[in-house]
Amino acid sequence: MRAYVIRRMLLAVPTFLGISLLTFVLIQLAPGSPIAFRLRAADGAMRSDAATQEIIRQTRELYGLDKPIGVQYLLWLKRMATLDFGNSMKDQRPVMEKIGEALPITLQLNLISILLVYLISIPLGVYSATHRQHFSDTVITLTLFMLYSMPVFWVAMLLILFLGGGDYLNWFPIYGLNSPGAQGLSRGAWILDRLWHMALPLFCLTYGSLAFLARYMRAGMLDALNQDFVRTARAYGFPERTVIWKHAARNALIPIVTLLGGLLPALIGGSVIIETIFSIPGMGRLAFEAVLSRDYPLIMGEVTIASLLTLAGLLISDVLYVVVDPRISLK
Amino acid sequence: MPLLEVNNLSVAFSGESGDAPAVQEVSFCLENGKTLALVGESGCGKTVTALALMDLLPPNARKNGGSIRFEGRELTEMSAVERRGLCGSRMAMIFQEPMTAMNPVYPVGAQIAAVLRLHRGMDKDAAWAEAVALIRRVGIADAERRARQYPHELSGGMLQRIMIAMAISCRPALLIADEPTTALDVTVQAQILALLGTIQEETGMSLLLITHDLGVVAETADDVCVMYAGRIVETGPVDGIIASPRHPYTQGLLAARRGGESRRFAGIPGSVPEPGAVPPGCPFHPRCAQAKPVCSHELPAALKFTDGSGVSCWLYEASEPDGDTEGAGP
Repeated sequence: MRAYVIRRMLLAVPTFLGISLLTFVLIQLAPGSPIAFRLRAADGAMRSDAATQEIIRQTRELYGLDKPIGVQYLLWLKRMATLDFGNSMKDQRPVMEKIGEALPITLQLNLISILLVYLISIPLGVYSATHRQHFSDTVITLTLFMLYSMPVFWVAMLLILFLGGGDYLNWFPIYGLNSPGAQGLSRGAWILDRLWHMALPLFCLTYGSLAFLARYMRAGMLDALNQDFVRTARAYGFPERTVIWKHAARNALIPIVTLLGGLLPALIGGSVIIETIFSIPGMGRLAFEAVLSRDYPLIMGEVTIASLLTLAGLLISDVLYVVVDPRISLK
Repeated sequence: MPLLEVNNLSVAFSGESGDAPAVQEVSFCLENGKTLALVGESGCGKTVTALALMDLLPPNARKNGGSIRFEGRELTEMSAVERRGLCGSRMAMIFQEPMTAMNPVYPVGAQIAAVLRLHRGMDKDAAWAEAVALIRRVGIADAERRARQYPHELSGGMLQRIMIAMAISCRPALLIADEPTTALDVTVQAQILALLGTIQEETGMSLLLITHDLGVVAETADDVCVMYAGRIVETGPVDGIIASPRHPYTQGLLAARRGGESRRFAGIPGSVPEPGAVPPGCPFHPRCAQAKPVCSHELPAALKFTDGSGVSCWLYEASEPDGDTEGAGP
């Protein structure tokens, strides 16, 4: 097991190099460059051709954009090895500092969301499976399919319109993570204020995966309930609750746990749509803005952190597989 | 008083095209310490009978009357909780596929220990120690280590031994064994049957053995019930049935087996009818070489003989109704 983890970590190195190289080349291939943004900023002051050329030359030199792309990548790698991602081209602040601000926000939001997804979908799936052909299962199934089919940007707009002080109810704040002046609140009040602000974005982040996982859990549970070992448990007189949870659900959980691997990248990368709509300064919005302004160092920093954490997440979900299923051993 | 007395048990499966009877008016008795074999081809209702005894029928199955008396108590009138208290403690069951009958995510010892904790109220350590002792008792070497292993790490024969250990853990009066050797290698089959025999001798429990294998029956059973299409067609002590079978179906089964020994295949023509498509009259008549006109429209009654055996066949009916029975049907 330990050998496996070490080997997986070593294998992550080439994977990471591949990710960073691809990103590095792709963003340079994309039309537009940081120089154009500089020029636009300087547009008002200078108009002469010579001055323009000078700005272009300076900017190129400043960021090393005059060198061949291979050399640029190697230079970036060298700095990256010392965890120096450079400064943002936009506001000259260190990239690490900007990510350091955005990552905890995204993590907080998505950890709560994943927790909610699992805490709700597992019991819901089990209930649904054990009440098959009852009216309640039909209602749950219909609701989940509806939730699953609704696009998140549309739901976010509806929530803002109906619950966020549009023309109807004014129950939830629609931007930011805290009220102005929240620093002065006591700890408990601050947490409540934070949760109040998180309510709508959390709902948007959660309902889709929730619907998906609950359906998955229901299918897994129906399958497990038909297995021979469940009949054995009944034959030995175990109470129905034990049969359902200790025997059937424990087995139905195996695929559910591994789906966690698919949810983890979003945990770190954040959601561009939701963070933008609700003005949450997380990783998703940061990446979105960095791409729009061709902020190369910031894009590379984001990709590095996100891909490293994602690789770690995938490893964790693989290890979890072994923890929940004794039939699987990692070698 | 017999340990188990089943009377007129009927079970039907409800489907889209109405009810399909799987077990019809099955009656038998099992005395203390004896072995009764339920014999028949796949789909004849023997497993459904066992599941009905253990209250394990699937949701689409319905019990249409009949009584099951076990240790003097009527099971069909008990609450679900009361029956659960009996299952695993007074009556236990082992299954055809030991590989899938154990939960894949728990060590086998823990699964036995869970039964001990449930029915014998043992604490965790005592239950584990007893589980290891039981595993040793069913002839598994290195029981301590085996108890910690998961089902996928053990062979089929070993798992069936573990299932037996679990079954006898609460010293049941009745063990129902549903094709306990069918999924195992021939060499292992004999070992498992010998183990069941030894345990039966030591504990005096009764065994309800469900099998299609007449060789197994001849070696282990005291009494036999031959089932066909959900009904018992012949019953009696094992020696009598093997030596002189009365029902044409039993004769066919034995001939098929003997044919195998003399390298000549003597099968029964046709196949077992599906539940819901059972022919009228004697269910066996379309495949019966000795069928008479009456067999196709009237069910033979169960005849009893003085030696305790019985048969349901028109060939032995003394007061056979006249050939013309129209309007006199049941």
